[in-house]
Amino acid sequence: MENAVQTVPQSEIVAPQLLAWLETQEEPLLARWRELAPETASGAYALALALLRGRLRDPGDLAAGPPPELPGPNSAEAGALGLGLLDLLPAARSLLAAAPVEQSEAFLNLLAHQILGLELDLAGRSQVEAAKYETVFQQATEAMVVVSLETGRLLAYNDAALVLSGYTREQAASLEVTDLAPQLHERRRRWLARRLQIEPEIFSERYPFRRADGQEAEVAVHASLLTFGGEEALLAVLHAEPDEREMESRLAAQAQALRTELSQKEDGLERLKEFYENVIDAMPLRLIVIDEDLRIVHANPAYYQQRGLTHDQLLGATVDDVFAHELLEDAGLRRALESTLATGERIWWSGFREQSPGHPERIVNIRIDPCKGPDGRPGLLVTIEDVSERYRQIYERTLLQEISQAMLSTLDLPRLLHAILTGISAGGAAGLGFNRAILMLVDEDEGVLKAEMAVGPDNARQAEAIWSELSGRYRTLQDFLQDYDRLPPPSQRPLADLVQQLVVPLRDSEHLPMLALLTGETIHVLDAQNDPRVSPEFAQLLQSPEFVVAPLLVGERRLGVAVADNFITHKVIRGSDVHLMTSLANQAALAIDRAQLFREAQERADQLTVALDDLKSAEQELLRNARLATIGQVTAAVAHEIRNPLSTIGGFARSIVRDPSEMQRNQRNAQIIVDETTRLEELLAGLLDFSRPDSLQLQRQPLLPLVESVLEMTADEREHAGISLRLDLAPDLPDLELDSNQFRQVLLNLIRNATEAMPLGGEVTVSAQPTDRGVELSIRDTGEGIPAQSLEHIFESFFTTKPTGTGLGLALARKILDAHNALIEVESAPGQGAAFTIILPYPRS
Amino acid sequence: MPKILVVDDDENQRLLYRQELELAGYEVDTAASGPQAIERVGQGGIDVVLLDIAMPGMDGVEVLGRILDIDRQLPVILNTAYSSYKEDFMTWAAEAYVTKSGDLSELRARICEALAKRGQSCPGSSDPAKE
Repeated sequence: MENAVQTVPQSEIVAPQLLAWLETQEEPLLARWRELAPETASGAYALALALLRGRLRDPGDLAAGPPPELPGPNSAEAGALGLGLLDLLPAARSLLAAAPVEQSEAFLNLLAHQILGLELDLAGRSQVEAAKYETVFQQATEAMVVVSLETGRLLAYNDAALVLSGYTREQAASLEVTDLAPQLHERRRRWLARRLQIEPEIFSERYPFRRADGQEAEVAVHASLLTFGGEEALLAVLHAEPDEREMESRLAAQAQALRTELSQKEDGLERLKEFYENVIDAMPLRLIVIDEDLRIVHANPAYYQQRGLTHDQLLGATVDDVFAHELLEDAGLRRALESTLATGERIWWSGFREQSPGHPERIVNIRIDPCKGPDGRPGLLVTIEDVSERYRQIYERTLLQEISQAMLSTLDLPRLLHAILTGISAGGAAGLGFNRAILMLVDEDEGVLKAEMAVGPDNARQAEAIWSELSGRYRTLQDFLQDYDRLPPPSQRPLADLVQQLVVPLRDSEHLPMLALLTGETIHVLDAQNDPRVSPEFAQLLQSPEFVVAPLLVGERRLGVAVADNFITHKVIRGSDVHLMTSLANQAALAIDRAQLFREAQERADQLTVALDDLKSAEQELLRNARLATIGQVTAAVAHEIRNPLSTIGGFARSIVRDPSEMQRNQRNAQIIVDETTRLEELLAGLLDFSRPDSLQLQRQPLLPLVESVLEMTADEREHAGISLRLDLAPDLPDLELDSNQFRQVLLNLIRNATEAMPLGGEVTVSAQPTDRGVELSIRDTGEGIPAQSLEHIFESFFTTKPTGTGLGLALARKILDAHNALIEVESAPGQGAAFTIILPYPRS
Repeated sequence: MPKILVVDDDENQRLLYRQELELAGYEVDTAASGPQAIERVGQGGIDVVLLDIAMPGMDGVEVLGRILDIDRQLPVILNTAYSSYKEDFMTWAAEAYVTKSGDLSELRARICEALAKRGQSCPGSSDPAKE
């Protein structure tokens, strides 16, 4: 059972065989499940297998659908496409955390159903698809360990974990987590527990791990919290790369069989060569054979070609020549090689960092098998497999998920932009690790693409300060994002100048960054100076030879671009970085779009609020006007003007009727009646004029005669009230386009108002000056002034502060002036008099 | 013969009142503005003042106050186109309030009442203006 995974023949696995295998596992699995609380993931896994067994035994169960309260069985398709049970674990954990007993059963039903769906799916399919089954199954056998966070004891572990660690079940029972992961001492566990309170899951791609044989390695770990019998526990899922181990063990078995065969043949050497050529040389794995002195005696093409050498050039080289010091000494490869030479035991390591000059860092799995060299002396077969791509994919998927979660957690645009930029620029496990990231957004109104925000240092010195401050601190993306609230205002942040200057017209379709936006392609510029797609201005601003521009697109909508570079470290931007930028930009575009829509909606809401306020004040205004315009008010205002002549007419008419013989008196009285009737008609005409737009009879004429005629007309009134007149009229005013009758009416109203404002005497000043606005004619009095609350209303119809005013004078004045394209302004303060200024436009020459 | 001071800024109104009141048997004096009226009252000999309210410069309500300052016993009849002035408490000091009309019979009645209070009689029991 210890080697359960390997006992299943990988290549020929089909459902019946799996069943047969499960048959042998049933009792131990169920026993273990009984042993463990059902709410643990290990228990869940065991139970799922048991359920699967039960279902498959009774074909009637095959027809049964999933429990109705659970999600539908799209899992069959998803599973066949390679999604593993592992993908269910987060859901399982949250279910388990919420309601341990009942829910876990529901989850297990789901799990069983998923496996069942796969089985159903596979029933009528070919062997090829059976291989997918195998993959799914293998993923379900990820090594899993449950650790008490308090005591560090191993509470549970699955077979794969035993295989990975090399311990027997008996040995494992007394293990503590520090035996497997020396770093995970109590303080570290407490720290981990706190982190897991905030984040549901932590992923470490290279976590130090120690095997039973004392070998140290690094494994990829997904860690999350669960409750285990009331105790807080850590669930660690270890990525053990079972496929590779299996493949290599088969390879080793084949090699061993061949060796046995060879030892009985004469032409052994020839056959061995043939074996290498035909089988090993064709492997994508890099293989070398080394002798007891740790010198290379053979290498396959994959190995020496990758090094850029020939086979002969490699022969005789020592391990010191081909492996980096870090790998050989610090990571313990030399010890491992010597150990295998001495004991003959196979060693399998995963997750090494391999650095070689001229190549990007790689992550490799290394296996050491004992073998005999071509000369029959003991040697070692070292198999190196590049798993960087797989690690990168896991890493990228996790990273992108984390960044997109961060992006989706805010609708606030600046905060979102900051999250995106941090995702691009943060290093380590927090982001893509570019030196600098800039977001440029489309501004349709201004017709430009302009930088909105940038994250990164201004220069190398600042970079050093920031990075050295960060070094040694493990920071997640969330940690970085929390800094947002402590950021200085945008204008004081690093790169503020760049943000200010980076503006590109939308019509510049020939150059970056518009080119990226228009083509929808991420563009990787290697040499900005000599790249025709980079305008000199853009290159000048970025000051960076190599950079990436990724478009932010949502369907047809072009939102902007993300620009990233390594302008400090000049680290080469790899294809995978470009790929990541593209994926991130896709996610970012969606998030920005969402935030912009939200902002628009909010602005719309704000506008509506303002509109509502406007409406309210307009309504109040309307009510006020309506009040002023009530019949009573209008009558009050107009009554005086009508009743006086009317009573005069009535009085004299009666007198004529009464004494028709008084010819002489009646003659005079009839004339008075005629005069008063004319006056009434004029009054009525004035009122009607006001309500009816009058066509303007413009005539170019000097202003002063009009002013003088009105002053003359009103001289008596001023004299009456003891008002003096002061004139300040510029002599050389240009002629203006005026309707003399209407303009005279304006002046009359203004001068009468001024007179009426000074019942106890004062001074009227009439001045006219040419200014750059036009001819400014102003009438100033020294009266009481207009109260501030009345100032804004004085040009409204039926607004009056005078007991006898009609409230039409100024309204009419403004109407007439509007028709002249002239303005009227008023200035007044209580006790300081009032000044009305008419600004008459110069005639168009 | 009782003497009435007609105060009005409208010339034709002054003519009308002069004609009609003289025909009714009063002696009529006129003033075209508040200050003129106050001056005339100060000279004495007036029995009733007929006072317009809406006048440029000093309005009737103010003139009323000034007249009463000079002679608290002098009856002042407010004669105006505005009906709303009845609500101004200053006008309570007036003897009567008459809204301007082509029919002067109400005005004449108020003048008679005012004279009666002063112990004077209206000229001519046979009112020529009576219709």
